[in-house]
Amino acid sequence: MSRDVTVLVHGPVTPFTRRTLTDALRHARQDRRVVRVVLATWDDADTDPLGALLDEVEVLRAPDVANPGFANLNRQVRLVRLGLDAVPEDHVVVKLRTDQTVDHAALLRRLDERAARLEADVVFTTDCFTRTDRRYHPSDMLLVARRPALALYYDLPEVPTTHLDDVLAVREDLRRGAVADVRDLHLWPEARLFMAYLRRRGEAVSDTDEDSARCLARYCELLSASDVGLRWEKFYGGRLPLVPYRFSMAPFEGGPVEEARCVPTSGSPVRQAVKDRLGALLWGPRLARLRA
Amino acid sequence: MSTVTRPGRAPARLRLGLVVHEFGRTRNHGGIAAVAADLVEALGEVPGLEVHVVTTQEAPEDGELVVPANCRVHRVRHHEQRHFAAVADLLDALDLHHVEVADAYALGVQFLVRRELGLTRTRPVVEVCHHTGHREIWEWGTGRRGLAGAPDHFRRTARLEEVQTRLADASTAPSTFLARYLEGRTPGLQVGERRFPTVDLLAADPAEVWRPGTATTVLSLGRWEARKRQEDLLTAARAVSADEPDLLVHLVGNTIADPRTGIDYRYSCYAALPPTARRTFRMHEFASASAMGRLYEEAGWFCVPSPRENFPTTAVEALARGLPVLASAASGVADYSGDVPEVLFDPDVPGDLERVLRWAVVQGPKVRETVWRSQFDAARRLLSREATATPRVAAVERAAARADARVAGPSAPPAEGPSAAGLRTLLLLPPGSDQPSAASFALGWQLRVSSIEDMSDPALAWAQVVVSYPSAPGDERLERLHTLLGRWDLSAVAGGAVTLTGRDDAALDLDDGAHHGTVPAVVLVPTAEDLAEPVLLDVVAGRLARPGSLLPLVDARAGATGHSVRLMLELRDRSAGVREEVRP
Repeated sequence: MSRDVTVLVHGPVTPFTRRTLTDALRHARQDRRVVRVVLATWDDADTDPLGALLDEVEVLRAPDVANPGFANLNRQVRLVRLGLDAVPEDHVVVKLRTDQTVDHAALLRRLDERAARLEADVVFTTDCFTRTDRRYHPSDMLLVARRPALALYYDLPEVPTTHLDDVLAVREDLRRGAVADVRDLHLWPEARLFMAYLRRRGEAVSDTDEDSARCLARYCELLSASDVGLRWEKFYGGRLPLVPYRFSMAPFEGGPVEEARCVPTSGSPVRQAVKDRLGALLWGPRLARLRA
Repeated sequence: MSTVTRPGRAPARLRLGLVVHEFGRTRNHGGIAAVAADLVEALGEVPGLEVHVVTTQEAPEDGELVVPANCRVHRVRHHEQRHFAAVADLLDALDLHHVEVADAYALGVQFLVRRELGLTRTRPVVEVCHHTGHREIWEWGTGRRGLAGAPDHFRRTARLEEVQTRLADASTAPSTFLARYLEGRTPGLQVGERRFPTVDLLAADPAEVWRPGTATTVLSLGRWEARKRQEDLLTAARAVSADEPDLLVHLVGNTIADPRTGIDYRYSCYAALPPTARRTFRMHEFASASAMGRLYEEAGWFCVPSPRENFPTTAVEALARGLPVLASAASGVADYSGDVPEVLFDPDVPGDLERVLRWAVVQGPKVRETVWRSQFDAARRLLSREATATPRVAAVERAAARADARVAGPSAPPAEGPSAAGLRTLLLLPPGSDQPSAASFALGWQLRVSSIEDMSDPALAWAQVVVSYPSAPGDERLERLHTLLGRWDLSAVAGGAVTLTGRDDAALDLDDGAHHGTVPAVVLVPTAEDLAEPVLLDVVAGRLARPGSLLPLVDARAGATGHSVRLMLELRDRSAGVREEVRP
């Protein structure tokens, strides 16, 4: 891959953001392809703790949105678009959250290996939260693509309903029996972004498991989060390159418990079986306190 | 959040205490927290004044609260009933001239009981600045009268608030509505008006903050709570949206359970909406200042749907951000809406909120600006530093002068205020209850009613109450208790009240130095309903005494495990006239 790279870090400034930016800048000094590190954050974000890092990072600010949207979708769209507006058209963009970091050298090696896919405007993501139990649900945490592809991915109008609107509606519709399966609602930012992207790419989304798998294979390239060293402040403080792989969640009151499982990326069945077992242990209830 | 006192503190001649359960603008703060901070700010320039804020709120970690040089914030870090003792200890130690209690949990009650029993070192004037009490929360939220059916914590706290009010030297409220409401509910109680400044409002430049917004966008901010009746706004907006399809109502706030059902109130309201009506509403949790700024800008009106509401702080904050306010005529908003009565709905007329909303959403920017300007200017006058801080300083000065006079000689005048009737209060407990009583607050003991024996005549509703307590003879506190309980016999008087008169019992005839040989006290007898909860005995020194011995104190003896005092009480509704008569 010969293109210049911009690392776009977006979100509120957290204690972990210093690590996120430090890792990106360190790699920029080692790999001349990484020419810019951009932080897109809120007007009221306190960036003082970032100190001298700010000398090397381009900081962009925006006012908060009136309606953050379901799972902060509107916030995410606003800041990513703010950042993308500052990125040259021919750059490859590594989009990262302020509370996550990645092994940039390992990531760029993977991109080099699959440069043709990148040039074909495939969007790279990881298996962390790319769910097998939900349709059209590629992870939106770490995304890598050419700038035009990512701009198209985030060309989403602000959703009018609030997170609370959706939560209340789902709860009530479940109670009334108006919703049979919450998977049909596609409320999550991952699905909303990806399905809108597919439509803009001319896909007629049929909302089936088969079509979901087909679109994921065609428009996304899945990386193993462990292969690219993805770390998340929320889990083990980001000290370990461990991110959720198998877990349970019940996001809607009165709704089902989802046995979440992410798309396998390990290749060999043995390796996958080990990952399954390890995932169940790492994200199970026994280690909940340690994770936090 | 840490608290920082600005430098430049001068020696204090006047000492004011402010008791609030929360203080400062923090995440999810209530109205009193914000206006209390604004009050402290307004008092910051007063020479010779020291302000002590006593709060039970843990210091939040979301920022830094800066207070003026003359202010100290004391955070009491206990929980539940231990708050009361800690607050009482602190208030006594601070040696204050005037204490304003403006909290939601009767945090001043133990200090007042101790003071009444002569157990405090200091005797500041104590003023209760009423907010929406637990009784109001229950009654306004359920539409019921009285506390029957209320959860235990409502009943207990409402009782403590009642005790606090009776023992205080003065009662005030931040709105005309609440002052008159409380007076109407409690004959004989006089409630003055004591408002709080709102710094945002005072600092706002009218030329800068006015925003035309959109008339059909309405913002409502506040915790979802049955007494706030957001369901009424939903109902009204649904009706109006039939003619005004662009109507959009933003409702911002967290939620609590509806005391009538135990179900999350916000969800209950939402569940009552047909799905087609959802488009008219946007529900938000409390949002960031930046996000709220956008909502204020987009809206054309702010609405407080509560049929009855005390201040409310959110309305003043909306005015400070350029939004005119729609609210109940039975609310503090009425205090500054005299020139624009069209924005006020009558809470007792069904559908009146809809009428006001229907009028509002068709008003152009000119009318909305006129309404806003009228409310804004009136509120600024009403809530100015001069109107809010100066009277408080005068009250502290009067209290300090009395304290000086007390030191100088025995002829000091009594504390001012409508409640200075020399009240006595005991709060006893039903069998099996582990809740502390006001008496145990004062005495450091756990008093329990170990049995309540129904004397089986429902018309008379007698009960025999045995109060037991662990102790040993000779204990000084035991003498206090005997003084409290044993000096009197119970005697019948009119109106469901009984008197306690001195009793010739060597074991009990102890002199506390204040009441021996003086007028008898009056017990306002609890209702039968009250016996399901801590029993309130308001023992009032007054002129109602009518000698008799219908209900004598029948027993007081030491046992192997402690002492017991047996009382017989007549269980009837309190007479409204009793308190009126005993008040000066």
